[in-house]
Amino acid sequence: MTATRVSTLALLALAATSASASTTSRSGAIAPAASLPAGVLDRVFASGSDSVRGGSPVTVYTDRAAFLAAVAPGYAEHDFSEIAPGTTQPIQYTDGSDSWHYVIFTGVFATHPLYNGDGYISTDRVDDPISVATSIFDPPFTAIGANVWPSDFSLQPTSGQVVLTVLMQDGTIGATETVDTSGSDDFRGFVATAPIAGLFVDAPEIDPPVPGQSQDRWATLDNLVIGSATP
Amino acid sequence: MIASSFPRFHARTLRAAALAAACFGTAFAPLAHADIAVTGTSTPTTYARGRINAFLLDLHVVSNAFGGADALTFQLPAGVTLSAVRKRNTFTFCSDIHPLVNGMGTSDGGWYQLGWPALDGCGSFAGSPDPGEEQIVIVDIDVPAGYTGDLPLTVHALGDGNGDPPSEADLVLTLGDEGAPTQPILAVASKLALATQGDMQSVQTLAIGNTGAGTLDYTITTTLNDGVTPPDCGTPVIEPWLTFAPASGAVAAGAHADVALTFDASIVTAGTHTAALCIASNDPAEPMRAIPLQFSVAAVSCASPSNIFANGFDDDADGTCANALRTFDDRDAFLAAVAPGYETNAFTALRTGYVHGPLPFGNAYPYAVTAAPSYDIGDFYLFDGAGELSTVSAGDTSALTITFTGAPVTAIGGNVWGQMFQNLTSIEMNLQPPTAIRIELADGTVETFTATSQQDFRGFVSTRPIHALTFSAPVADGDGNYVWGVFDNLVVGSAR
Repeated sequence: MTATRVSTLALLALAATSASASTTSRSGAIAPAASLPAGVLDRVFASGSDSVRGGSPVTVYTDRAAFLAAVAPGYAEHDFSEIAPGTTQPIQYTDGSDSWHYVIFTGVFATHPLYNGDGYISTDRVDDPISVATSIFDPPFTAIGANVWPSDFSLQPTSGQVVLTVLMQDGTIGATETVDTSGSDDFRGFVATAPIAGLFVDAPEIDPPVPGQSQDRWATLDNLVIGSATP
Repeated sequence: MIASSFPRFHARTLRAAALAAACFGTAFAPLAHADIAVTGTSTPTTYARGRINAFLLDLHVVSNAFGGADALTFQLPAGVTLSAVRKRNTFTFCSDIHPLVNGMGTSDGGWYQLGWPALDGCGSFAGSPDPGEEQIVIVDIDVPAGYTGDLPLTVHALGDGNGDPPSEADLVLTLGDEGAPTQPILAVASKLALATQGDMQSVQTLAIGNTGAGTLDYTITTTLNDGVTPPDCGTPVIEPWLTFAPASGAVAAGAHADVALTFDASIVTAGTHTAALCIASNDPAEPMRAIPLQFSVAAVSCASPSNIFANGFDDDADGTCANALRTFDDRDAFLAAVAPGYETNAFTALRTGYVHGPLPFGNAYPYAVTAAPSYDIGDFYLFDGAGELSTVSAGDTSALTITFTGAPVTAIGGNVWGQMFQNLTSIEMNLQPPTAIRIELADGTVETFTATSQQDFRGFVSTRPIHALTFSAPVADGDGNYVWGVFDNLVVGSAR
């Protein structure tokens, strides 16, 4: 990773902050569920009727197979089996048919490292997101998906929510998904018609807390796919 | 300890020469055009086998280009692991940037500037402290019992890129082996408390172990103990309520002998009675050991229908109307009293920062740790690389509590000390000043002592389950500063 790339990511994050600040709702016509293709969760963005600040439509998938069917061959896939438990620096990959270059880290303004399990990604600090991001100088990708779940202090899967945010390279928020989950099987995939800057995964704390339990949740991610939408 | 320093660029060719020079205790001078080199010393210069050893490394970066180090990593022989890395002083890091401590629990890890290797962060390991000024990193090294001989600790500094390459340097600190003991070492509980009801006799076993070499010969007498002045073992006094057998014996190296202590509540009044066992032995380090005894007798008869709770305990599963608690200040003696199958936890490589409890640990003997006081942002603040649990802040109400949530636990012990992670009035961090430690068990038993280092140990072995215990350091020093009361290297299991 070069200093230029980091600066770009910083700019992208600033753009995301700005876009988030201007977005108050996702109101809009939602197509009948019966008409949704299998695995497609949200037609709001697929219809293009609820784009943010003129951003590009994004289709959200809850099923991995359906998502992969919407992704062109040559996508990059990581099960992170090479990842050892413990803290790590940002992880950089350059792979896939278009040699996509992307970095997995805790966030541009986060000052703490990743804290991974045996073959999956998480964060050291409870308030940090998992960020999977590229820069405007890298080959653009338009599809990204992964298994996501909240983990506890000991990296064990636990109940809670995971919030995913897709940031487009034009600075808009392409999609925001909240997943209620208790295990590592939940999948979310995003396919766009414009370049994606990154995916940010948060795990908010349980509110209200359950007596006798920690309310802390850490964002956790595995089985990442990055690619291009099927033409 | 032997020190050598040389740029990595010349490492292959100069390593042998440097090590040869090191054998004579000399430092290898950095080359004139090298961008970076590192020198330093270790305190202490030797290690103990089968222990987590703490070393204060006074490290100085030498750079003709005024460069610093963006990463400071450590390499150890296979099987020897880093348990913790902490900084002491004179390091420059941006206030909002924390270093990455990686590789804890392995033989290769250390301290990286966040952002490395992109070198886009800020702060570094300072290159030039004032003359005579220490620049200390504290490393905890877990040495297995089977490791013998010299232990090379390689300190690797990765420079910040100022000046000409190479931008890396090694320092090899050779730590000496303290070796196996050559004399008998008496291993025994440091105190024993028995709570019982009236009209009964209770027999408790006191293990006398030998964790040294050769045969330990011992003789037991008793004397008075007022709990204030040290027992005078030179003046034997026989207490009629206490008998023991055998009164003398021999223990082979690595073995233990059981001494039966008989407490007779039928001949004393209700209340607390005290005495001390005096163990004379051929342990050259401590030829006379005094063990305080506390015998608490309740007024209620053991045959009373209300005896279950009259004895002061929540249960009476053993049906003996009594509970004995042995306290240990020595890890080896404690472990000799613990049954096989116990679990240990060094709390190495935990997540860091603000965390809400309870935090679960343990498998066969699960337990939860909570911290007080509780804040919205978290109950714990876990420091980078510290390798131990800690409350958000130090103070008279700050405490860590272990609550056992599964199988009955009758043996628990660990290192307990006072850790000054931060000091508002000094640049120095991670000091371990003498600290008044308070440990309270759920049954009301309180153990207090002054800890002086992270090697201080307290263990408890009970005849009844220990439900919970709380660690704190509630006493401020003369300047009003509080220290975090912490524990580490916890052993949880059952009494032997």
